[in-house]
Amino acid sequence: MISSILFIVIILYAIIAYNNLTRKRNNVDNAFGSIDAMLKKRFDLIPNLVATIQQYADHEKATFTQITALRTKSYDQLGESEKAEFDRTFNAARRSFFMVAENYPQLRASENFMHLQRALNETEEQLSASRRTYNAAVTDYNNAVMTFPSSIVANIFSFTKKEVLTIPEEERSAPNVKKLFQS
Amino acid sequence: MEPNFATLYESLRPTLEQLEAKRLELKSKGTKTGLIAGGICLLIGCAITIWSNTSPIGLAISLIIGLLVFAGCIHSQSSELCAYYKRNIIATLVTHLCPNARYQPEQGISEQIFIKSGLFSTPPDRYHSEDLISGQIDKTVFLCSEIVAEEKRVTHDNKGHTHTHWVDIFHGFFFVADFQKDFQGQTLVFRNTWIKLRPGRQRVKLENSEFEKSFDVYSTDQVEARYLLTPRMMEQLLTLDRKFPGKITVSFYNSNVIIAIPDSRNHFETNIWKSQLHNTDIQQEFQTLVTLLSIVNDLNLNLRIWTKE
Repeated sequence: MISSILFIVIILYAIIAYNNLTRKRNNVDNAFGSIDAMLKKRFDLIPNLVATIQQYADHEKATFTQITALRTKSYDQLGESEKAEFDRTFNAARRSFFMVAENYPQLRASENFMHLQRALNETEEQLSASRRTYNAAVTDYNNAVMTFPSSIVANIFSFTKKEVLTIPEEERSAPNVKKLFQS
Repeated sequence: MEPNFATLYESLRPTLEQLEAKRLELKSKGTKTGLIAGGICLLIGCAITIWSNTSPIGLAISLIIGLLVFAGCIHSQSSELCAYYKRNIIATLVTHLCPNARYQPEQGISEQIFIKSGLFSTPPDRYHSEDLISGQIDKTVFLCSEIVAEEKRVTHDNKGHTHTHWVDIFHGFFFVADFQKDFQGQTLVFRNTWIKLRPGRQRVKLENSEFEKSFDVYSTDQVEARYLLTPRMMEQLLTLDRKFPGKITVSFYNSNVIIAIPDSRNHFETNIWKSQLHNTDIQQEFQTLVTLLSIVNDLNLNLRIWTKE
């Protein structure tokens, strides 16, 4: 009798733990999807970015040529390595964008620049929020995978530990965004 | 905004002298009325005591009632003095600190905003809001007002009698400001509690451990909550929390930030018994206003580098 009750309790716990792990894994996938959506939004800013800055950025030509080449495809057509490459190139282009703007007051004064600057800041802030959400979801999931007794259920059903994203230093610390609007 | 009270106090001196003259005039008026009304009460009390041939306690009671009526008549003049004080002193303090602000003592923040903030689970049975300060600091439009929201509680004793009493849901300031980012959902920053459950909202765990010790965050959208509560915003809210003696809670709603600051004191009031020439309350009120109006800068709400202008 006692062993039957114990067996039922164990089975019930296993079901609850399995569902809990599945929910947490889905949250991770969902959070990853929101990063992808933000990266796509960022990708869509490329034509505007290139059009605004290109004529001022002769010495940064390589960066902008690279990013323009990526824009020949749609974001969904990019492979994983291309997406990673896009992330690096875009960050370089964004840095160049602000560096070039510091040297050209007429560029800073243009409406197109102002609009793009706002759009870039917005997208980066949302992307940062998505990455932080993803990391929170991964931490939550990993805690469930690695702590006893849910770790037993995780092992049986092959729920494996996931890696958190490395948040760029400028996103972890409070950035001095005001500086971008001065000079 | 230059919070230099000494200079301001000097410029207020003529107004304070007028206020003091007004106080003495009202006190004298109240005294006259009080003497008549209190005297009548005392006489009636004495007459009843003598006519009914009761003990001297009746005379003592008559005397106490007479004195209370006398004091009440004088105190009743406080409301007129208070109105004058608000119109001439508090309004000057407000415009000195924020030239684009308007002080409306009889106006307040609507009950609808209070409820929609989502910070209080119980809708108030009795709601009063006054001392509205509205205006704009640089690009940020704001509202600030005192609020007293109460819940009615009815109890029944053994004899079947019904007792009604009022319990505060919130007593303090509400500060509502236009937030620098647009957002759709609602994010609530409550005080940290043991029970982490808010129906209809997800708990948002944030990276700042100090912030997590003080607050529990709930939101309709995890990503949006982090979009609003950036590492910098969390630091700013912690700093703001330390500035107020009460424990603040925050709601991000309808592209606004709503800050509830509990404070049991009824601010921006004066009374007939206090000399207005050496009124230390004015300096305290000045400091309260400085702290309230600096919220916009403390949270850096004028920084408009995102798509919302």
